[in-house]
Amino acid sequence: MIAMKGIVKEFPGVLAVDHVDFELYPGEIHALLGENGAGKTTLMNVLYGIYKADSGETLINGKPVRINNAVDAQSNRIGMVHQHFSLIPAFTVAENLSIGLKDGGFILKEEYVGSKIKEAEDKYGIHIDVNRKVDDLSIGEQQRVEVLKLLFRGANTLILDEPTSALTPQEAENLFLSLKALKAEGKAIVVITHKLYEVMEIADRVTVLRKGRVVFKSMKAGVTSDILAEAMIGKGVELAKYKKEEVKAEGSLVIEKLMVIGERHDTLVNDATIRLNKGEIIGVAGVSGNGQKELVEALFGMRKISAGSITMGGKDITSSNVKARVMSGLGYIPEERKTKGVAISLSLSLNSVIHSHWGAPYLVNKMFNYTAIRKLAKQIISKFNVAAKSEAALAKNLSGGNLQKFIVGREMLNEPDYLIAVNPTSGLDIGATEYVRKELVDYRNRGKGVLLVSEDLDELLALSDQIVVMYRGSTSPSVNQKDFDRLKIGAMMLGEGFTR
Amino acid sequence: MNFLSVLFIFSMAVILGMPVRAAPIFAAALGENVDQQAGTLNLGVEGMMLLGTIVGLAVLVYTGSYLLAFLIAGLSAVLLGLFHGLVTITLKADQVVSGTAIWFIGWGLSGYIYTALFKTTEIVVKPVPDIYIPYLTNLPYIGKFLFGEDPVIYLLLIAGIGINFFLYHTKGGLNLRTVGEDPLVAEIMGVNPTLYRYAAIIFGGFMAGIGGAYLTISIVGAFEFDMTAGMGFIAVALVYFAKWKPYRLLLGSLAFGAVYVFYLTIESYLPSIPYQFFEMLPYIVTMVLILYVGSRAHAPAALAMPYIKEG
Amino acid sequence: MQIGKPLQIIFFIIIGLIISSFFLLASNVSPISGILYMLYSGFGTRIGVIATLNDSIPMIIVAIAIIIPFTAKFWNIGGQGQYLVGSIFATWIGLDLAGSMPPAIVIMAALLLSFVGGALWAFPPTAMKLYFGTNEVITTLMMNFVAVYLVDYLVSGPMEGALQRATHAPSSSTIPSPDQLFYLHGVNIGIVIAIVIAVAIFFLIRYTNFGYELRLMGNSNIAAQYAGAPLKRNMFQAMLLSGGIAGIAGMVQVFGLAHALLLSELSDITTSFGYVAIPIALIAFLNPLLTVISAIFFAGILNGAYVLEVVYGISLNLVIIIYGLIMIFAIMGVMINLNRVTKLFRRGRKNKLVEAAKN
Repeated sequence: MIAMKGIVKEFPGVLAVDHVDFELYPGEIHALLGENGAGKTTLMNVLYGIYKADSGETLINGKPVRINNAVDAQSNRIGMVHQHFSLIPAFTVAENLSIGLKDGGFILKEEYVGSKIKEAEDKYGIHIDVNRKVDDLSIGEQQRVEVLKLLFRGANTLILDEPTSALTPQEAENLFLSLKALKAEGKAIVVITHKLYEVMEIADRVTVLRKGRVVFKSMKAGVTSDILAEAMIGKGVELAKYKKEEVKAEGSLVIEKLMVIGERHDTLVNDATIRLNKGEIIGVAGVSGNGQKELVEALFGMRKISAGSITMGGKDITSSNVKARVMSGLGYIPEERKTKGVAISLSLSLNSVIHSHWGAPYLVNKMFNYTAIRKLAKQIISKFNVAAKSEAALAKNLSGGNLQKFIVGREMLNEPDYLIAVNPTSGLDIGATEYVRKELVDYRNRGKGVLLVSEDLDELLALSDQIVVMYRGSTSPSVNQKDFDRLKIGAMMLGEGFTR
Repeated sequence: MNFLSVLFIFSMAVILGMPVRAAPIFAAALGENVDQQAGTLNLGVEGMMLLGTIVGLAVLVYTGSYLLAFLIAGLSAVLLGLFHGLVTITLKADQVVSGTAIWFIGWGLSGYIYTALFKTTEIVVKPVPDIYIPYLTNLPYIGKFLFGEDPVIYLLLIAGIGINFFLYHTKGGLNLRTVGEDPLVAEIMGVNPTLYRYAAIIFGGFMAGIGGAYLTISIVGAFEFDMTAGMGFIAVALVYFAKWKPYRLLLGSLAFGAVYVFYLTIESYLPSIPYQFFEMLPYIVTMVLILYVGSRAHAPAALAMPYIKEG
Repeated sequence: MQIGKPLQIIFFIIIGLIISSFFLLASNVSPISGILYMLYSGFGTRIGVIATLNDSIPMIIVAIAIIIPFTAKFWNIGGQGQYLVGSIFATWIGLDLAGSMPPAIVIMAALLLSFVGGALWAFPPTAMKLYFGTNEVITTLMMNFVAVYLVDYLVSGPMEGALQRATHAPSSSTIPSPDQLFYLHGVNIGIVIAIVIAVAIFFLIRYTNFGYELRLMGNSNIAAQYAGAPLKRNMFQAMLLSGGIAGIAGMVQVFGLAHALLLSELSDITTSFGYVAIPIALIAFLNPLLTVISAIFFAGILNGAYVLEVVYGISLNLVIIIYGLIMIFAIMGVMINLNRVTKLFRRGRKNKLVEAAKN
């Protein structure tokens, strides 16, 4: 049995975990529930040794232990699967499973790995081909490799961080079966999640965190999802409603039968058709890796289009470059805010003109006007509540949430007619999430079109006027708001209604 | 003499001279290969080789021991490597910049040490003696080529086979390659990236120093200023060409050995062509070779990237 | 950048100099006074200052040249080759037009052709990088070696000068004096060209779209592409401009200081401006105006080392060591976070205090 007592972890400006007690028993699945930014992952990273707690202690079977890194955690038989997998894409499954392995001799032996895999397959129904490259595996398969890796190292405590976020419901079902088999064997399992139905389906015990504190703790038996929802969100806090106004605006962005072929001659986007009118939000749903990323890159001019067309307000932009597309009214809030959305080592000033540096008032007589540029940066910072020292601060010194507000602000102040936003709230805390969502709806209400690509179906259902589902590079016909049905769209994400 | 016999003598000369000329490049490239697979791009190889040239020569002159000469030449280059490691691994500075600085330091040191020790007198040493195996070495045509080289060449060959086995068939090699692909993953899996990167850099430095010492002792027999003339950089290029596979490295080095012998031999046959054009050959061949490989090979994903932990 | 950082870097450069000075022990020269004497000879006397300024001219120009692609993290290590080919082209046109054209025209033509020559030499590595993804560090370096042998061939063959043939010092014929760049108080007027180029490139990087996009590219190509920068075109332009400016350094060297195309040996640091340019540009943080200062600093070290060579017989190779050490200590100065180091020390001391209290 593992017990964490009085754990406190503070990041600059945020008390992420505030005197939390957490107990974990063998043979149980313990759901750690909470909204984004509630401190779930931070708490588990403390247990796994990635973060050092500012105070508090961890006891295993009553004895205090010190876990300073992942290796310590593993020697205490604790394993964790993060949202971003710790796998080497260029290596095979067998190689990935052998990294850092102490037993089995000095020489790499595939048979050794193979026999252990067989064991796991028989016991928990986890099967995988050890000779395949991880690069070629689906997300679900990669997750299996991660779980196997922990089992190989003799973990009897497994922590899974949002394990189903990138899985299809079917893959999730398989995972749950394996988890139940592991539980039956006496393993202790933590599932970090913000999805209530998952808790109801698999948990034996549940702890709810809100703003870094434990607000609810119980065995699951006898707990209803209403109780959990209230604990998670808090009393008196209404689930935010987004006020949409009727907008009259002419013009649309039309993606017609778009084809994108990848470097390996694989079809990444296949006959995608989407029509986005001004004054509406079109949600693009889909399990990650079904061509959404490539569609957006092609739409913004960052990827070669093999066939099809894109017109914006009647103007054909299929073969235009990024600059021409931005100048004719396209904006883009990318998911990769640190690597794509900003030049991380440059100042906020220089980052503020990323899509407006081609003309007045920032470029006058082919020369940069730094007074105007600084003014723009200040405007973004104040108007969008970006917590930054000044406009001279480097982008890398901003937190993820503030960086996202900065990018949202920059793109919106550039007033594009059509704005693409990809997973705009992933990884943000609850406040920033609400803020970004509200801004997107406001932007729509001002008569602009928003293409919202998100893996969070609830976000899409809450914000979109229409939803298009992407599956294996193809798009579904759009579903109108009045026909929104969680289950039906979920089935489409799995390929229902798509040919082949 | 007819054309065919000239061609025959010429190709024999090239083949016989090939292993000796290939040895220093192979040594340095083997070290660089290990470096790069741990994620460290070491452009300082040129400087490390240069340091090896003078240290090898000096130790040989003062002790008369070939073993000590190669050993200390290798260790001297390791010192430069540790400097590179301190700056790029521990302080996480840009590897291209640090590598250039290491090149300068080794370059300057080689000339400085030579002048300080020997003033302007030219020191000439004898190469490492070739081995002799009764009967085998006397075999016509192939005897000398296969069984009559000097011991360093055989040791390098063994090192090449050993490294190939280590990298692709042992846990240690897998761990090292993991560090080159993703140091964070390595760390989570209980592999210490810093340790592996330092180990790789020590090995890479040692091999570069050996290569340099071989150049003075066994090829030229004397020291010349900046005598590697870009050989270290060619070794780096070879690693790309070999796609991080030691056996391809061996083939590539032999090809370069052939290029060197080819132009040294052909110069005397074609005096009408200015020698400078032959001297350009290795550099042009290098460009053509890496053009051929281009970006098709999978480079270690974390190559030339410092490992910076977040949080 | 914090205010303390530049001071910290200067401090580290001084440490680099002090460490270099210990090599003087090998020649029985007292380290600190030797290094001080070196600096005095480079910067302290009128003759020294004049020689330093003259030597700094090609260093400034090549360093400015490589700053352009360096800003986009494109490592043009081929400044040496581009500089050499620029000087070949300049010498060739200079000798060809000598006497038949007014000096102003000859000089303009030489400037233009040296630019073309340097750009030409930068072209193959650039094209290879952009279309085949080859490593530019290797290819630009290889081009340097080819250029060295090309010059070697030319000055001992087709372009060999009559007088030089007699003296056995391989070089081309001399540029006639009316065409040479003149001296003002002993300093060659080429320094004006160098400073004009420095200021122009400063404005290019700071105040134009092109410079802005290069800075974005230096941060990350993905972010730059997102910002609408045409990566390939910018890279091409940056490299050709870089090669061209490095070529101009060759023209200034031939018309202003050397007055002929000279043999440039691989091992000779005094003619390897293209290599020296790398530390010069880097310790100036790729800022063209600071580069002028760092080039003068490097030229002063070179001149001081000349004096050490004459007076104490110390090998000029010392200069290369010093350049390397300055470079590596400068990056250490950039990377080391002194606050963190002092914090570590303090923490260590605190622990000891706690332990002491326990006892």
